Amino acid sequence: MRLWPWSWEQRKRDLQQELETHLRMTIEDRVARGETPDQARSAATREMGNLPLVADTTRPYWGWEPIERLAQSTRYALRRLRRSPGFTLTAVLGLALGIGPVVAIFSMIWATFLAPLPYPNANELVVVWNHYKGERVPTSGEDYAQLAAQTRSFQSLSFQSWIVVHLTNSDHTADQEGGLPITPGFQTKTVRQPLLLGRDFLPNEGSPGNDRVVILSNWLWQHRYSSDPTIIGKSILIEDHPYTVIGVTRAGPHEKGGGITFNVPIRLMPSEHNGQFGIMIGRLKPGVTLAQARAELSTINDQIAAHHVAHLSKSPLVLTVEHFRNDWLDVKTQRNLWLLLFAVGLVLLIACANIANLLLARGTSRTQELAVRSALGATRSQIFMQLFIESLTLALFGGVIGIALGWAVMKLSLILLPNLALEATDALVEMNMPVLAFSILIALLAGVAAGCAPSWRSARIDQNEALKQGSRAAGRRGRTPLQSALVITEIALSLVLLAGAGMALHSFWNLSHIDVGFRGDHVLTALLRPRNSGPGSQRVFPSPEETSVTQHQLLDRVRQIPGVADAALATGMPMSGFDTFPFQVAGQPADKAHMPTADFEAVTPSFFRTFGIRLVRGRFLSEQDQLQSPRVVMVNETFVHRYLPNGDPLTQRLLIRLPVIIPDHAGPSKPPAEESFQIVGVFHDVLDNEHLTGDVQPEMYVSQWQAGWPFLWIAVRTHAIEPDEITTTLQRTVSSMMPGAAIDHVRTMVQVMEEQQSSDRFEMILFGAFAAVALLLAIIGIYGVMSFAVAQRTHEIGVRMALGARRKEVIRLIVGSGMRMSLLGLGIGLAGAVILGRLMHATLYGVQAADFFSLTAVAVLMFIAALVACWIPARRSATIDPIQALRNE
Amino acid sequence: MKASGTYRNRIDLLQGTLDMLILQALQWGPMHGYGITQTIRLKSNEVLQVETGSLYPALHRLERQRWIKSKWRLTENKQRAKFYEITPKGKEQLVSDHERWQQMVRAIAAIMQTGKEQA
Repeated sequence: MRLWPWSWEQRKRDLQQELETHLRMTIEDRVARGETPDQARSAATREMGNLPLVADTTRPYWGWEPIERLAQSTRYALRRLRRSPGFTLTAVLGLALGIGPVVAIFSMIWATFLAPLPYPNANELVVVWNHYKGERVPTSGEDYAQLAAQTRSFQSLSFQSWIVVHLTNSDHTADQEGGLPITPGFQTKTVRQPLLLGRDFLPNEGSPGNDRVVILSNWLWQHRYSSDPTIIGKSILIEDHPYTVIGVTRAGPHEKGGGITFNVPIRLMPSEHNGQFGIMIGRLKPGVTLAQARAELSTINDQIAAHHVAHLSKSPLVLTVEHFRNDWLDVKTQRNLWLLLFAVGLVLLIACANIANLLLARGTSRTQELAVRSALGATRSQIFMQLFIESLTLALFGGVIGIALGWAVMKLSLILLPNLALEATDALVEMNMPVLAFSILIALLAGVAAGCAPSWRSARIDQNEALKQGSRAAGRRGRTPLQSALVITEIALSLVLLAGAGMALHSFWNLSHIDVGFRGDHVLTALLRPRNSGPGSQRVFPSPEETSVTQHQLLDRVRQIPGVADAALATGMPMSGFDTFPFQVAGQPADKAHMPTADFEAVTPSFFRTFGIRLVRGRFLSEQDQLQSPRVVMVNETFVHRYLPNGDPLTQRLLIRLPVIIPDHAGPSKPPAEESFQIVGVFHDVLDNEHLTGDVQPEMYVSQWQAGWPFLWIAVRTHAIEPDEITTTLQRTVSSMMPGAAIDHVRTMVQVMEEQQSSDRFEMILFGAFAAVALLLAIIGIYGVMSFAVAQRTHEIGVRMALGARRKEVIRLIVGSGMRMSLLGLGIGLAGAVILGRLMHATLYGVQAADFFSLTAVAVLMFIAALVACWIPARRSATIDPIQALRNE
Repeated sequence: MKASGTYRNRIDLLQGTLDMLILQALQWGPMHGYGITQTIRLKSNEVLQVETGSLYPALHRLERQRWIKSKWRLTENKQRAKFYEITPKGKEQLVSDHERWQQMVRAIAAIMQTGKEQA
C-alpha cells in the first residue's frame, strides 16, 4: 500500500497530525507545569520551530520524492497544456501525423520480416530454395525426392507443389476453391500444427490408389461445410474425383495464404518432365545448425546438379537452406518496405523539428515565468525536468492519436495493396503488443528529441536579465539560430521526401508509358482447364492430331461470339511469366553445360493478331504451318541481338529440345526429343516478365499447331464491347466444346497490367502521401517560425515604420529573411535527394539517380510553398500600426 | 546545569547516534514522538534535547528501514497519537549500534587518555 500514489496525501495528513499532536502535548506539559496557555503556546512553538519545514525535511525519508516531483510536474504540465489549447492541439496533431505513418509501416515490417512465426520451435523450420540468376526459385519434386532420400539433417522435410487443384461443383465445373498437393507429415511433423479433427496424411498416402484423401482448412470447413462435425470420412469431389475427408486444420494465421483451402497428398512422379515445382519446407533435427544443414546440402547439391546437367541440360541450380521467414515477397517489394520505413522516419523527424520549434517559441514567451520560478529557488535541473515532462506528456498524447492514425493508415494500405497481405503467407499485419510497444517507444523518443533542446535552452535563461527586460528580452533577435536550424532541417528533409515521391511518380509514369510490345486493350485472357487435369487423376492426353482439331473448333466457335474480333491459344500470356528452355543454333558448336536459353511459347498464328504484335522481319506463323509441315519458329528482336547479331536470322535453324508430354506418368520417360526449327520471322519485343521493368528476354515462339500442347491460355480480342462482357459466353462455349472443362484466372489484359503495376502504384501512393504530410509540416514550420518572428519584432517594425519605412520594404525584409533560410534548406535537401535517388535507383524505372525532372519540380514546389508561408506573416507585419506597436512598450 | 541552558549548549548528536537513542528509548515500550523526546531528555538528565526537526526525519527514516513500525493509538489522555514500536530487526540493529558505540567510546577515551598523559 505504501507505494501507491493515492496513499501519498493520506501520509502527508498523517505527518501533519503527528506534528500537531507533538505540539499539543508540549503545550499541555507546560500548562501542567504552571505556565499560562498563551505562554505555553508561544514557548512550545518557538521550541519546535517551523512545522511545515519539519514536515518538508521528513518527507524525503519516505523515499518518494522523485515520484512526488514527477507527479507534481506532470500535474503542472497538464494544467499548462490545458491552458493553451491551441498550442497543445497543434503539437499533439503534428506529432500524431509524424508517428502514425511510422506505426503503419512498422506494423507491416514487423509482420513481414521480424515477427516470430506462430509455430513451435520455429527456429528449426527452414526452406530449401533453388537459386537461378540470383533469385530464389521453387524446387522441383525430383530435387525433393533426392534430398529427402539422402539428408540426415532434417527430422521432417515436406514438399508442397505449386500446382493448384480445384474442388468440383455439383454441375461438374471447377470451383474457385483451390488446394495444393503436399507430402504427408507437413501439418503434424514439419509445422507441428495439430489438426482440429481427424489425422494427417499417412506416409503411404500419395502412392497411386491410396491418394484420394483430403485435409480441409478450417476456413473451408466453416464456410463451405458449415463446420460439420461429422465431416471426417465424408466424400467430396476434387477435379471430378471423389476424395475422402480425413482431417480439418485449426484456425490460425498460416491459413490465409493465397486462397489455398485444402491439401491432398502429392504423387511424386519419378520423371523430370512432370513439372512438379513447389516449395520445400523442413524441420531441422534439434541441435543441427543452419551451417551444418548447408554443408550437408552442398554435398548432395553437387549430385543433384550433376543429374540436372546430364538429363535436362538446364543451367545448374543451386539448392540452399534458409530459415523459414516471412520474406516471400520479391526483393523489390521488400526494398520498398524498408524504403518506406525510411521515408516515414523522415516525416517523424520533420514533425519533431516542428514541435521543437513550437516549444522554443513557447519557451521564449515564457521567459518571465521561468525567471520568476528560478528566482524563487527552482534549480536549473528542476526547470529543465518540468519543461521536459511537458514535452513528454505532449509526446504521449501525440503517440496515442498517432497509433490510432497508424492503425487507420495500415488498414487503408492493406486495401490498396491486398497482395502484401496475401503473399506474405504467414504474416498477420495487425496492431499487436510488439508494434504497440515500438510505437510508444517511438512517441517517447520523439518527445525527447523535440523537447530536449528547447527545455535546455529555457532552463539556461539569465533570470536577472529576463526579469529586468520583460518579455521582449529573449525575442529581440526575432528568431534564434536554433529555430532557423530546425526550419532549415525541416525544409531539407521534406525536400528529400518530395524528391522521393517525385521520382516514384516519374518512374510510374515511365512504366505506364512503356512499350509493352502489344495492344492490351479489349483483350480477355483466361486459363483453359480441361477436365481431369489435376495431379492424382489419370491423365489421358489426346494425340496431337486430336488436340489440334478440338482447339481449331474451339477457336472457330469463340470467334463466332458476337463482339469477338479474334481469339488465340498460347502456352502463356504476355506479362504472365515464362518458361525457359535451352536451345542450340544449328551449325554452331554445342557446349552441353552452358547451353543458351530463351523463353519459349507455343502460340496459334492468331496470337499475333489478337495481341497486335508487330512483325519486324520475315513472316508470322501461319495456319499452313501444320503438324506435317516443316517445323518453324519466330524469335523476338532481343533474341536476334543476343544470339544472331550477324547475318540474316531468317536463314538460321534452331535445335530445341521440347519436353515430351508423357500420357502415362507411371511409365519411365524417354529423354526429350530434339527437333530442328526454321526461323521464319522476327517480331517486336513483347514484355513477358512479371514486373514490367526487367529487360526483355530472348524469346522463341513456335506454332501450337506443331507443338500440340494440351494446357493452354485463351486470349480473346473484342471490338465495340468491353472484353469482360463475354466472360459468361466464353465459359459456356468452352464447357460445350470440352465437357467438364472450365476457364480460370479470367482477367482483361488491362487488369493484368494494373496488377503488375500494383507494387509500383503502392510505392508511389504511399511515398506521395508521406511527402504531402512532410510538405504540410514544413509549411507549418516555416509559417510558425515566421509568425513568431514577426510577433517578436512588432516593436522594431513599429519603429521602422514610424521612421518612414514603407509597407513594401517591411514585407521584403520579413520575406527575405525567411527565404534565405528556405533556400539554404532547399540546397541541403537537393543534396539529400540525390543520395535518396541512389538508394531508390534499383526500384525505379527509367529514372536517373539525380533525376532532373522530379528534382526541379519538387524544388519549385517547395520554393513556392516556402514563399507563401513567409508571405502571410510578412503581410501581417506590414499592417502593424506603428502607434499601437510603440504604445505597447 | 539549568534546563533552559541545554537548548543553547546542546550537544550535536552524531548521525546514527540519534537513531540508536531512539531505538534504545523504544526498548522500554511503544511511544509517540513527544514521549521519545521526553524520555531521552529525562534519561540524559536534561542534557539531550532532541529537536523536532531531527526527530521526525529520523523516525520516518527508521520506519522506512523497518527497524520500527508505527500505529495510531489513543494516549492515556484520550488523544490520538502515532505510536512507534521497535521491530525484531530494529532490536538487532540496536545491539550492533550499541557495540559500535562502545568501541567508539573506548577508542575516543583511549585517545583522550594519551592526550592527558602527555599534557
